Amino acid sequence: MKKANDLSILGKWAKNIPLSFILIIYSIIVIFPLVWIFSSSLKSSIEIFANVWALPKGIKWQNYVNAWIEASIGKYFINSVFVTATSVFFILLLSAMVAYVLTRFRFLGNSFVFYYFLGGLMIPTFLGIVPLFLLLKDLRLLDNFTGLILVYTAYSLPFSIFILTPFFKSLPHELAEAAIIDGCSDFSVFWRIMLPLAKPGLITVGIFNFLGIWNEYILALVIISSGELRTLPLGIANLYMVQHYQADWGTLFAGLTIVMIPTLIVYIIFAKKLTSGITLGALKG
Amino acid sequence: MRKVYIGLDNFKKLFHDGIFWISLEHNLYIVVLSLFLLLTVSLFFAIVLTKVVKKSGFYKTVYFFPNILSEVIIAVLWAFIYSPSFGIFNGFLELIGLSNLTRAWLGDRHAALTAVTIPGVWRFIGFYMIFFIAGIQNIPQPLYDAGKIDGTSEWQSFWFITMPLLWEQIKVATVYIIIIAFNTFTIVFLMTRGGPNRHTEVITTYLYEHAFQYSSFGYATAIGVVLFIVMFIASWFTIRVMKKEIIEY
Repeated sequence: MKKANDLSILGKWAKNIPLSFILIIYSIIVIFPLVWIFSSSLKSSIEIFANVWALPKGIKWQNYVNAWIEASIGKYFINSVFVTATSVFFILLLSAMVAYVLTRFRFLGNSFVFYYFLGGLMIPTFLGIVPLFLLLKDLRLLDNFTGLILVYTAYSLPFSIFILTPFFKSLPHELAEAAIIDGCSDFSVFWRIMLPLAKPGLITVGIFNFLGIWNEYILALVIISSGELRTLPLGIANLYMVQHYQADWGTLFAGLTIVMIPTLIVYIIFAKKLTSGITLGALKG
Repeated sequence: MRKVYIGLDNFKKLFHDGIFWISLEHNLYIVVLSLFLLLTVSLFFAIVLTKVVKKSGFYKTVYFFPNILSEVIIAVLWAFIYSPSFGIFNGFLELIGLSNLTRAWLGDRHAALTAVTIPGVWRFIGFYMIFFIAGIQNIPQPLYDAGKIDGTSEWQSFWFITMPLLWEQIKVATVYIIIIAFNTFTIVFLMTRGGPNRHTEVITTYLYEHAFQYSSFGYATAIGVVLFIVMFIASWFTIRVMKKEIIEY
């Protein structure tokens, strides 16, 4: 007993000071680089080189104007909004329909369809990337948004169906039966009753897909080649390569800030939803 | 494009391709280092934030944040952190009086591979921490209370209650980390392009080079197939080794 007491006193002492210290240090390791990006986005290149730690002298909003207009970040931003919004819309629509049908109707091949989709979760991007490239080339879908949106939608369906199926399973069956007795068609049962009830699941799937597609780089890199079709991650990566020669770092830092803002907003609003969905989201390997 | 059936020629060529083996070795290094850092650090934070610090919301929110950033941002950010001309990493070393350690981290052939592994770890620590926290919160408190009555120390309750009951999550996390580390691409591609002199080349960047620079699609696909097989074996092996009787509670 005595030993345990000693340890717990020692533990209490050890807990309070060094542990908080470690936690705060790690918070700084996470936050500081982001603050650094933001503060550098307001500096001139000379200032960035002169002193890493100094605060910007006089705020240089010009960097943002340069990034948005001259470095075409504005155009890439609009491209990204279009591609992400369209893909997420189709993902939600299709995965909800699949999940609903799979949980509500018994038919031959039901579980085959479910496991077929689930199998899609196991395929790593790099195994499929060359055949996908060649397929899109044959279909003349390379280097356009239709191809990119189709690929994003198809890639995200397995995960989305996997998350949504339990949601639809938990919805009360009796509601659908009552609605059908009242003369509702199968489609309007889905559209007007089940879909609104599955909203929490749809939000989770929507957020994960928004973040995944907004940030996606590898597939976009392979599919998109023209400059004017670049999404934000492609645009930033390109800007980064170009800046090696032009060394207008302030503009690049402004660009990085512009990419982070939407994700930051989504994170602030949905942090709880994201971290609680992690046990589900973790499955997207 | 003409397609000719060549049997297993690509695989034979791959087997004798020195760069492929070096890339695989680099992937294994990234796997081992990521596993070590991610499992220890995120498990440590998970335990501290469930058992010691009661007001943990702030830390959870902050630590998870890098996980929602684009890998492109993370790559560019860390390239700047390591930058020899204005990077904060060298700046920090100078600040604490270790200026003899400063170097061009991504250009140094001994340091570069570790340097490209760290951003991925930074990105995922919060993710696995949250994953472990969910597991720890599922362990019934009475088990710890019963242990306390029997006089277990904190270490004992960690080793004999938390670890066995969290084993399933640790196993799943290990498999995820292995799979993700084998798929490392964006960070290496943007930070070093596999350089200096192939010292950070990984399988995915090598595959990309063959597919989209030399247009040797067959060879690239063979690399992809081998990557898949290696990943599959590594995951299967991990699951077998870490298999344990499921503890009912």
